[in-house]
Amino acid sequence: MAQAKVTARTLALALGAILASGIPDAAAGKRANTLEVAFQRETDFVDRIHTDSRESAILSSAIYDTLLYQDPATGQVTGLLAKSWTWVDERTIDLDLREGVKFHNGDAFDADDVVYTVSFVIDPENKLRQQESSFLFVKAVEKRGPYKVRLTLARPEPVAEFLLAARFLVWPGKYTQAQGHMVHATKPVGTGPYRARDVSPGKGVSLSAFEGYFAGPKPKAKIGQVNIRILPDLQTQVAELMAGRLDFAQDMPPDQAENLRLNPALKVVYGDTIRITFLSLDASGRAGESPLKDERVRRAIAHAIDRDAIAGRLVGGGSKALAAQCHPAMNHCAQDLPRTPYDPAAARQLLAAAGQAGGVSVTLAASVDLKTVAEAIQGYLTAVGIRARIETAPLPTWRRNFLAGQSQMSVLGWGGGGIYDASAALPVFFDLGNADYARDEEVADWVKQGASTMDQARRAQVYRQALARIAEKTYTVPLYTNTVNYVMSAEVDYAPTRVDVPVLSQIGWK
Amino acid sequence: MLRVVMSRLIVAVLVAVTVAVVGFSLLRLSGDLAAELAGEGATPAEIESARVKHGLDRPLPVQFARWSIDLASGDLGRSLFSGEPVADMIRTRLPVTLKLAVYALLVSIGLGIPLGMIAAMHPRSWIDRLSLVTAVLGQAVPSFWLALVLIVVFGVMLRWTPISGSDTAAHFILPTVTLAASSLPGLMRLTRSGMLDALATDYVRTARAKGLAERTLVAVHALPNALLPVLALAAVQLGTLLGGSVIVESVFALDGIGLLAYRSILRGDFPVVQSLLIFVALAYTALTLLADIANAIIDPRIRLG
Repeated sequence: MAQAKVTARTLALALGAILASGIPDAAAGKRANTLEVAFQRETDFVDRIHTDSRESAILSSAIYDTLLYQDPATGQVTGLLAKSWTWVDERTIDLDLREGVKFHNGDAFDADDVVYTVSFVIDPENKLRQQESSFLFVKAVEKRGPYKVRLTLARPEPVAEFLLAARFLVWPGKYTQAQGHMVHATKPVGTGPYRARDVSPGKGVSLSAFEGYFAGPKPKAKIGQVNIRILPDLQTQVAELMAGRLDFAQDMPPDQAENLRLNPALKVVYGDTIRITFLSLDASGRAGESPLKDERVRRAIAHAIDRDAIAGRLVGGGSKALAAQCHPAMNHCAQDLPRTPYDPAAARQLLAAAGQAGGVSVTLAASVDLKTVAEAIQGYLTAVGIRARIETAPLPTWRRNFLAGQSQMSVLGWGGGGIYDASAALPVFFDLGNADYARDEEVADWVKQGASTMDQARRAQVYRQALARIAEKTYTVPLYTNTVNYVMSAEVDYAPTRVDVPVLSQIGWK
Repeated sequence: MLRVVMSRLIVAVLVAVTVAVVGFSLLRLSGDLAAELAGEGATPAEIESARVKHGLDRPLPVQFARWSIDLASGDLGRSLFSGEPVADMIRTRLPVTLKLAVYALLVSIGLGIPLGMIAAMHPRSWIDRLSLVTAVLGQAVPSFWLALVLIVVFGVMLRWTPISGSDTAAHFILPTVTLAASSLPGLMRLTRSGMLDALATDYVRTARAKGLAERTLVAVHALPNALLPVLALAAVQLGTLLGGSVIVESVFALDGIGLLAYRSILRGDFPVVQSLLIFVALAYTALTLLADIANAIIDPRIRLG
């Protein structure tokens, strides 16, 4: 009996020790100056040179700096590692680099680092992801002084400044050359406001504020430590938030976010993003014979859908119905074009005029995450006599089918790389390529001109023409602007920006 | 014995080949890997470029043959996304999964065998019925649901345990309970039926008639015989636990091979998925073989082959 008591006591002590060892202090956040952040997905690389994902965008902007800086709130481009720049001609940009900048390992930043990094990203042999659209507009880089660099472009690129602010971050040349570029997957070194303390694949990333960060347009780190944990299951994130062991999570399903809003220890904030969602219609009959080749049927679809209701009630968080096939904050995204209002009666009349008064059957495809939007559209279409059969699939499968020309009608979202210009929204879907279901050669020509001329007046004119034709022919039905939500501890201070990812260096404590 | 071992090894190779072919086919039919590799904002041209870069434009049999040749030479390949060697990815994550599987098996054995014994010693009593209900519930309740209930009760409401991660032993408490809940019932029911059979044998009846204490009777005469099939099942359960922790690791964010498999399947990272499938299949086959050999050694009545 005595032995049994000793065993029980030993077990109890052991269990107590195990429990005590593992439970984090629930109030650790502000008191310990440590922000606990959840990511749903792991990123393969923390730098946006090797990859381009939401997660790498968050980490990259914390650890590294780019040549130019796009203000996440206004979208305006200013200097960052290059304090200023000059267009010598349509294909030449001179950069004046910032002096006195240090990398996290103590190396001094200069033109050699820029030349090393730019040479790497523009070398097609390195086969980087999305290299063509992100990097290859630059043809050559030349050092013209310790803090002066010249970029020669492969073509006139009207959004070059946005692109230099996106993925043109700078690695320390000597460190990267000595360790190999893959070192940035595990031991990243940049000049950014946070330095990477630990990168554990599958687990997360720990960051510390970089005390030596220079005073520039990007804010200094406001929090001492940031621990990013990979929590694939959203329910686990919710539990961690409710237990006070997580300070910051993003992109919760709207119903979950609203439930969490009821918790006084948490708050939910929404932000508008540059991302849009629209309905693609197979006007050219790529997916086979279909009633959508008839312009009247397409216009009937546009009349049938109450986009304001979808934006306001289904998406929420400040989402707005789109007036054109681009985000209103984008340059050259005309907002004064004639709109197709919600008018079910007009939709029925158009269907009757098209000889489809008995009803039309169509297939509506969507990736799984847009299923609720597809269902809402299905409801509106049913009300005017259009039977839409929904086909949902995981994003890669949906995308394969879409690019293979198999989509009669699809709901899709498009971010355009966060570039505030109509050229980020239009070319992919109107270039006569795999994603173009309009196949309108004139639109393709206007869009091509807009992406290749530096004359802003001409660009405004051709994009306006393209957008007007897209609306007139109802090649697409622009739906709404996307929003993002952040669930955070009430102690956290963060105002969302237009970028659909959080900017870590702008997060602070109340 | 040697013949049996050889035949099992051949079976293991056949299982590995079947798993590899089926896994490869399912994975490649489920989506466009090139689109995933190129990234979300990739243009169609960039997706085609990714397809060529990774050899995905070649016929599927050629891709499979190439991967198989590399595997035969001991090269598991590299992740298509991170470029990390697959062998390293598995090696760094395996300890977490092994730890979880062993903990879950120990809990299953530690509770399943005593509960099975008690149920057998009191057949049709409330204890027996309670054990039956527990067994049915344990096998019927989905692990993701049980995991969430445990998280809400012990992680959120009581705040006794951590919710996610694998940093300390305490992080393994809830995942272990969740995983053990599915393996415990089988061990408990098998112990019970084995014990009932053993307690009804002539030699136990004789021992009881000779006045042997009930505790000695159970511990020395009945239990060793009842545990033979339990031992075999426990070995098989370990294999199941190794492969069955995908959901549990995902919910509790344990960075083991289950979570790696979950993530790799979602992205279609086929070198990683293929290697994991083969690893788990071979582990399962090897453990089954070990259980057979152990049974043959312990029980002279069993003659393999």
